[in-house]
Amino acid sequence: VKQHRPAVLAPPGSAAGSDSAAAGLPVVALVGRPNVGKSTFLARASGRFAETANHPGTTVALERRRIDTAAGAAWLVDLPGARSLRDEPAGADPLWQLLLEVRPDAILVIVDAGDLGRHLPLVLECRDLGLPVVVAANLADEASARGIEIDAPRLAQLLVAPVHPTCGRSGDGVGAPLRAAVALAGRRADVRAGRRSVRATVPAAVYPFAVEQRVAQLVRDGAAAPRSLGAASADRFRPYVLAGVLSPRGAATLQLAAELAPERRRIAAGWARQVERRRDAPVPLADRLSGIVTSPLPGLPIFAALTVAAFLAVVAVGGWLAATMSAAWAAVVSPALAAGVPAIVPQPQLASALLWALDGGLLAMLSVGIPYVLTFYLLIAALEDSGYLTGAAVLSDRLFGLLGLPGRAAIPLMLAAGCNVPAIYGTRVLATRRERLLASFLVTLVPCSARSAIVIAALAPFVGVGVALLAFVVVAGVTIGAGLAANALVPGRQPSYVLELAPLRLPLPRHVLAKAWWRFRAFVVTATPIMLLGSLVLGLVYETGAWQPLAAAIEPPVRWWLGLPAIAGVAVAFAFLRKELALQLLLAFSIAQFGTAGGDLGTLLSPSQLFVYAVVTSVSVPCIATLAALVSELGSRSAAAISGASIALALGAGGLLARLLGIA
Amino acid sequence: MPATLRRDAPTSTLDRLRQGVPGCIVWVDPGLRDELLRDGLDVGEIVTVTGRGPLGGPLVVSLDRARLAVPLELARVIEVVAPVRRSDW
Repeated sequence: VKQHRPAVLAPPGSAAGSDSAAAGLPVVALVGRPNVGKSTFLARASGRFAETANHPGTTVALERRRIDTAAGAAWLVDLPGARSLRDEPAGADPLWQLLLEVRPDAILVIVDAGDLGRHLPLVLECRDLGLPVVVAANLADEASARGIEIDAPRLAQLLVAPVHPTCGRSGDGVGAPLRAAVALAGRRADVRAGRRSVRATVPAAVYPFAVEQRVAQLVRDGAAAPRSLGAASADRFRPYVLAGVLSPRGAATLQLAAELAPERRRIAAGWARQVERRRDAPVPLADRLSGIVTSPLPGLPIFAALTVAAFLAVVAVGGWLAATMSAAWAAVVSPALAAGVPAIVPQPQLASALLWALDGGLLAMLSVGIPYVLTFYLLIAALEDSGYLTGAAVLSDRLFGLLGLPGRAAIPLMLAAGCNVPAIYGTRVLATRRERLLASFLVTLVPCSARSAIVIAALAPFVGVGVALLAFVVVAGVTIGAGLAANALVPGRQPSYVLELAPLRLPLPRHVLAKAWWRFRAFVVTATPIMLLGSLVLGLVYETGAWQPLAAAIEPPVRWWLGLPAIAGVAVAFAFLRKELALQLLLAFSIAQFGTAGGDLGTLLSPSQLFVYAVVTSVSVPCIATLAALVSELGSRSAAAISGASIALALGAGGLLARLLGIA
Repeated sequence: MPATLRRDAPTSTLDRLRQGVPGCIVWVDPGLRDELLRDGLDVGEIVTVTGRGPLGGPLVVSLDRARLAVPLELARVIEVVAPVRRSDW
C-alpha cells in the first residue's frame, strides 16, 4: 500500500509548490475508476513493480514515478481510483483536490474499453478542468473477447483528446497514450515556465445551452471578482485558480458538479453508443464463473473449500519449508556460531546474548517467519489477482452487516490474513470513520501470517492439525463476538453502498510472484532488524536474570487467570515488538529451562496450555507496526482504545478457555 | 422486434425484479440519485438481476458489462419496469 502524500498545494514560488517544477519535469496524473488497471498501467509505464490487485482500493494514496518516453521524461502520479472527481477515495479529500495538489500538466484517464458508458463521465469531468487530457481505453483485450470494439479515432474527435486502446496486463499499446500525455504535459509546462507562448485551447461546448450559460456566468463572476470567484462555495477552488493549476471554467464546473453529473452521464451514454461496435460473442468463461462464485450455492461451499485449502497449503508448504531451513541452519550455521561467537566475545553473558540474536533470532525468522509468511503472501497475491475477493464480499455481506460493515469490508479483512498493516490502510475503501474504526478493530483481531504461523507451529506439531484449526475457529468466534459488541457500542449507523464486482481473471504468475516478492522483501527488511534487536535485548534480559522480577510480578495473574507459567506471559508481552517473537521466546525459555529437550514445547506446556497460549497470542495487543498504522490512520486515542480492547478480549477469552479446559 | 418501454407498464422496485429478467430504471430516490449515478444506476438504464447474496445479501445486478452488488436497502429505492416487445402491446 502506497503511503506517499504530495505536498499540499502552496503558492507558486514556494518550496512546496515548486516541488515538481524544481525537478524540471512535467507531471502527468493517472486517473480512473476503481479497478480499471491504473496501478498495472503505472508498473508497465515505469518498468517497476507497483502494488496491484484485481479489486477496488489497491491504491489508497499517491505513487509518483519518473517515466522516460520518446516524447521526453515526466513524473507519472497514480491517484486513488474514484467514480467521480467528487469521490473521497482516501477517506478525506475529494479526488479533484488530490489531483490538483499534484499540479498536473496533463491528465491520463484510464477507462474500460468495454464499459465506456460508465467511464466517460470521469473523462468529461477531467476535460472540464481545462487541463490537457489523454484517454487510454484499457482492457481492450477483455472488451474484444466480449464482442466490443471501439472506434478510437471517432471517440478522440468527440472528446477533442487523443484516445489509445491499451492492455495494461500484457503491456500492449501502453506506450502511445504515455507519449501523447508526456508531449502535452511538456507543452503546458513550457507555457507555465514562459518557454512557449500561450495558445488557448477551449474545449468544445458539449452541455445544453442553458447549462453552458450557467457555467459561463460563473466564469464571468469569477473574472469580475477573482478573490471570491463569485460565490462563497467556490472559495475552496480559489487557491488552485490563483496558482494557475485550475482554469476559471474548471472551477465553475466543479462548483456545478451535481448539476452537470446527469448531463455528463447522458452525453457519455450517447458517445459510447456512437463509438462501440458490438458483435455477438459467447459469454466468456470468466463471466460464467463470476456468477457461480457469487451465488449462495455453490458459492458458499467454494468459499469454505478455498479457506480450508489455503489453511492446509500454509500448513503443508510452510511446514516443509520451515523444517528444511531449520535443519540446514542447525546443521551448518548454529555450530559455527556456537563456536565462533564465544571466541570473539570473551564476556560469557554478552556472548550468550549475541547468540540469542544471531542464532535464535535468525533461526526464528527462518523457521517461523519466512516459510509461513512467504506461503501466505503467495496465496493472498493469487487470490487478489484473480478478482475473487469482491465475490467473497458479496457472500459475506450479511455477516458484515451484523458487524456494522458493508460487504466491501471483506477486502481489507481478508488482506489482514497476510499482514494487518496494509489491511489497516486498506480500510480507506470504507466511507465513514465509524466503518473504518470498526473494520480496523476487526483487522487487528484477524490472525496475520505471523500469528497464524504461531498458532500452526505451536499446535500442529505438538497437539495436532485439527486442534490448530479449532484455535482458528475460536479466534474467529472471538472476532465476530467483538465485532457485534463494537457495532452495538460505537454510535452511528451503517450506510449502504454499491460494490462493483471485479471480473474473474486467471492470476498471472508474473504478477503473483512480483507482488509476493515485494511484500516479502519489505517484511524481511522490516522484521529482521527488529527480530535481531529484540532477541538481543531479550538475551540480555534473560542472561542477566532481569526477566525474573518481571516474571515474578506477572506470575500470579498469568498463572491464576490463564493457567500458564509466568514466562509465557513474558513471551506474549515481548511479542509486541514482533508477533513471531512469541513462539521464539517461548522456545528459548523452554530450552533454557529444560535443555535441548525444551525444544519440544510439550515439555513446557500441556496441550491445553498450548491451546490457551495460541489463542491469547493471536488475539492480544497488535504488534508495533500495526499500532503505528492505527495511530496514523485513526489517531492515538482510537489506537489506544483498540489496543486496550484487544488485550481485554485476549485475557477474557484466555481465562474462559483456561477454565473450560481445567487448567486454571 | 426490439424491446421497448410501455408507458403504462406496472413498475416494481429493483429488489422485486425477477432474476434473469431485464428491467429499465424509471425512478431513483432523489436523495440517492447523485450517489447511484456515479455507479451508472440512472433512469433509462437496463439492468438485470443475475444473483442474490445469501441470507438477504446484496443483489448482483448486471448493467451492460459491469456487475454490481446492490444492497437491498438501495434496491428498494430504485423502481424498474420490465421492457416488453412491441408485439406484446
